[in-house]
Amino acid sequence: MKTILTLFIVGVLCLDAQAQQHFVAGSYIEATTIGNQAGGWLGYQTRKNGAYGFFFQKNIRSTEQTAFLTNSFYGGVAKLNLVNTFRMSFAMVIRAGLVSDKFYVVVPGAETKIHFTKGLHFTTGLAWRAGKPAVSMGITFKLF
Amino acid sequence: MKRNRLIIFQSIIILTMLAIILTSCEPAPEDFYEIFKIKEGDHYCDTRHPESLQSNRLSFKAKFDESARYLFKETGFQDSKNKLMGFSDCNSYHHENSARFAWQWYNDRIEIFAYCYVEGVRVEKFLGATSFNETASYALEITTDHYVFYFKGVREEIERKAPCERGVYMILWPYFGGQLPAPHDITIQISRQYN
Repeated sequence: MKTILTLFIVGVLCLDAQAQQHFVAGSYIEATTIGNQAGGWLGYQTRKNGAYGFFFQKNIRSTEQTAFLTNSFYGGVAKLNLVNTFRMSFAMVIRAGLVSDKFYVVVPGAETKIHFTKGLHFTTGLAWRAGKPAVSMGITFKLF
Repeated sequence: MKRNRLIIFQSIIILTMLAIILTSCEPAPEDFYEIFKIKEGDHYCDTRHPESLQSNRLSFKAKFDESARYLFKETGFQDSKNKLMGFSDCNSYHHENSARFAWQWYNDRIEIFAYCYVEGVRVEKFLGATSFNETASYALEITTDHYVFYFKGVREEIERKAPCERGVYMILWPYFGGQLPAPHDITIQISRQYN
């Protein structure tokens, strides 16, 4: 965890020299085959509208029977912007991290972002989790 | 620029429609079966894909059909275990540390086994039998020091010596053998369960 944090800070410092970049934060709900999860992410947006940072998500609710599936999922996220226009953008998304603090997982996905304003975006995503498709919706906003 | 806008428009439509369909109030179909076919002369099934385990429990339903009946000319291989499904343990190869359900056609029935490798040593335990087109539930749990198998009310534990606790646990798919490949096409239906 310390290594990841160090790499993130070094990355941010390196990119800080370039213009048109800023910190962004987002929250989302993801419907997965192991239940609906809510989460958030904090990252650094690059000049080309890509981003990288950290995320954390967890099941919204569980029953006694499904308690073993309340998998928290946290780690790093990278968004590679493929197409970008003034109002919308489309990106490939990779999330990698730990589920239930035990299982290393890599989740590939895609995300469409609608730019409401310069600093507020609506996102819809599609990913591959636990062997099945997962969809998400959320908002992303510019911090500073 | 026009092309880019078209791509974006299409991606929004697709993702939004998928979001609406998949997040609607209708529950996910629990009995959606994937069909795994092992072709004659092969060991591996044709639809396996890389996937890692994401919880301490692997549950599924499985159905065999008449293709699960086979007789080898070399009768000594008849009790070779075919693998149904399971996982390799933390950052291990499946011949080092793994836990799977296994099956064989023996005594005119489909026999189900707990089948593990623990530090390279194979451990097998008989769990029960199933029949053609019978839907049976299978569950496999990881505890700190055991693999726990559940099948038709039977609970069996096999000792686990995990090489690590935090890592990649790859899911292992149907495999025929043993040493001999499938004598004819074999079809197994599996439905993953998440509750």
